[in-house]
Amino acid sequence: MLAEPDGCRSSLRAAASEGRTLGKACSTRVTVADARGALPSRRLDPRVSIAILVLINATAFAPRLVVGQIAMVALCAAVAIWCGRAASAVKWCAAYAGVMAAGYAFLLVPNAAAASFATMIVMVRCVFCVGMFASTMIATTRVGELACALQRMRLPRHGIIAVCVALRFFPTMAGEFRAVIEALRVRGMAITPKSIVTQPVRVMENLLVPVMSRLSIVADELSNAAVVRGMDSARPRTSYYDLRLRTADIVFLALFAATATVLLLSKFGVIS
Amino acid sequence: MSATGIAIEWREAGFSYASTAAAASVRGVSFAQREGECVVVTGPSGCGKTTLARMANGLIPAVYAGEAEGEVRVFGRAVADWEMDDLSCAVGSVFQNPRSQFFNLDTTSEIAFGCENMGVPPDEIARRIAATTRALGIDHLLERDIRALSGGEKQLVAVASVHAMEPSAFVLDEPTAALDVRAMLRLRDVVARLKAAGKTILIAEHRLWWLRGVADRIVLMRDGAVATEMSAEEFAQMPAETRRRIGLRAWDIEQVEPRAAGAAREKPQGRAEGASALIVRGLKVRYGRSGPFVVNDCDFDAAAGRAVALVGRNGAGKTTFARCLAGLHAEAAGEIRIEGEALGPRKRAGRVFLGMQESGYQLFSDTVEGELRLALDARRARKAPAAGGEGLDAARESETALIDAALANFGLEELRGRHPLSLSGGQRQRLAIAAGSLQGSCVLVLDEPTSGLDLANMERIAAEIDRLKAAGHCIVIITHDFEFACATCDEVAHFENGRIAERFDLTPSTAPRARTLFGFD
Repeated sequence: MLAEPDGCRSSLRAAASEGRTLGKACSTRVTVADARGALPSRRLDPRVSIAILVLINATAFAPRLVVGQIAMVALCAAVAIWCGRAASAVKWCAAYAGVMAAGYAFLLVPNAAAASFATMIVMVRCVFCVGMFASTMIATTRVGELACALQRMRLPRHGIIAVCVALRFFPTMAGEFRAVIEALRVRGMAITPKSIVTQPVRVMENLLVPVMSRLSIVADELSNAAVVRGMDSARPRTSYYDLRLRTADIVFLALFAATATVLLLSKFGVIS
Repeated sequence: MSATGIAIEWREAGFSYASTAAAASVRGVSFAQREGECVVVTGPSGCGKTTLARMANGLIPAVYAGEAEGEVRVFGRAVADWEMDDLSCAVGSVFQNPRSQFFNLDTTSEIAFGCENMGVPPDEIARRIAATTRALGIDHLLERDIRALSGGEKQLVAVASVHAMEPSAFVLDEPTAALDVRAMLRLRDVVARLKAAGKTILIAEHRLWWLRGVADRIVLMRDGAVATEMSAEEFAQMPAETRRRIGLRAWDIEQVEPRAAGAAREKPQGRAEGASALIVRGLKVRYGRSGPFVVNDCDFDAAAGRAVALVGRNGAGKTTFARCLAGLHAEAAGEIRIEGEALGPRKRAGRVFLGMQESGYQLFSDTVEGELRLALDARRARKAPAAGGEGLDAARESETALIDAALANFGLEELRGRHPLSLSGGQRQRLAIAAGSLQGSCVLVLDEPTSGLDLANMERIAAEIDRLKAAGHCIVIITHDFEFACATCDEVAHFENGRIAERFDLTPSTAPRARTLFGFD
């Protein structure tokens, strides 16, 4: 259980650095960018991530125990910090504190409008952990490892590919929207609160048409790349990654499971 | 692999697409590429070189429907008889856009991806990844977030991911469209390594200089047919005049010279010549509140009626600088004056036009004419936010005249009613620049306006920029395209360590220094 899971990769590293001395002539030229985009070193096993996500979802609407919910947020923050994403953990915790404060503030004002806002905030609090954990999971899970995990769960090939492409799709989509919003500013047609109110249709059209047309081009190019990379191959798929559970995986899973059990028991009135 | 020593052979082969939008059709191509040979297919846009590449890697007929004639044989077997899986393992493909050929978010998974799909055992995949990174000299790119890589590094990862499938032949379709000079030299190094390992390489390409010394044969295409084929030595003998006449980019970058000083410079009319339209003082830009300064204490002037080429390494901060000029990124300190007026980032947006590499993002109307009308609307909205009803008709009339003039100037008259997104890359880029000039931006910053363009389109954009200069616009061009810079830029500014490190007029006597700054060693 405690075996070094990166064994295969570190031996590869060694082989690669051997290659570095052989291929010195060309590796010297590209030293500038060396530090950029290093991957996070620690991450949960994707199977554990999926299991935790399911647990969080199952207990999302068991809000009677505020302490339990806070414990969940704390656990999510612990995972994020363990994965080296302390800054993100701080932001999410601050956001949660904000939501809590807003919820109690609305309770102080006894009228119908405030009550509906308070209800909305309760909903946000319920699904908060889902978003928080998913953000860590998406940022740290490797597509290849996730594919391996899904393969072991015996998901059909096309399902696996769809999940992998979807993971890649969201960052791409966000990037496309950002580019179009910037292009509108450059053309002197910036989206402002005023333009959203006075010309909502125009704003939507300006935003969506370029994004859709770009995405359709990207989709065509991606599908060409998919064909030549054997995505539709009839051969049984293998995986480069070898997944093994580590101590941290088990500890986090156990903690989440315990919290979820307490929350569920409280929901069904076993404990109060 | 085959007894004959022929890797890829076209026998009276032709193909026309079922949907016309796909690409140019080809006909009657007869050509044989030997094993271990590096062949470059080139020609003007729309000559059918991409189609030829697709016939070799099996995308025709696997993905594209249409009418085929003749036969294409790969390693002695007709493409139609290959299983797509086997063909993909025998012929690896690298495409033009480094951003849209990835399925993973980290490099190691990506290199392993093709092998995983083909059912290669895990131990063998690990061995192949190690062998690939060693063979291509890219071990430093393992275990990285793909999104943080430069375009050139992405393209190397794309080559690696194909290499790991251990094909005997490689088909590269315009692999350098998004790369800078240093990245192209890196890619040349990798292609040379592949060739030394006995791989067969077919490259469809506009930009030719980087293939000097690697290519064995050049195939010239025109209107969907092979015009001539010649050895690299024969091609090197071709006079520059002939090469330009058939619409090809330079083969020997040493022969590319800027225009002689003075001779080609028309005097700018309208605004005063030499007046600084753009003045930057002590500019500091960074990401986040505590990041390092990407632009650090930068001073920069640009005169109306002149074009400055902004050059420098990838990641030096040129694009951040340009985005800050255009008001897309707020400065941490410093001042930017446009036509004498100090403007904050919000005010700059729209006043400084930024021509993006993907001009498709910047077009929002449903016709070419409408696009220019939008630009005029933007100008009016800025100049007179609360304009009254009077004189509106007169304004509309003069607007129509302005639009007609712009359409004529930029050679877009015949495209007036077309949808902007149905235009070719070069036409789109021209339309975006035309819109930028009409919206009343005095300063135009263009980011790689000629990436992926052939000679004719590049020259058309150069002519367009000459016209903008004559009208008193101030142009700043981020470019890696030395031929383009020589065709239109008056000055070169070298951006390094967050500021302008060096600046000089681009003339035949300064050309060697300019070449060095562009990255030619």
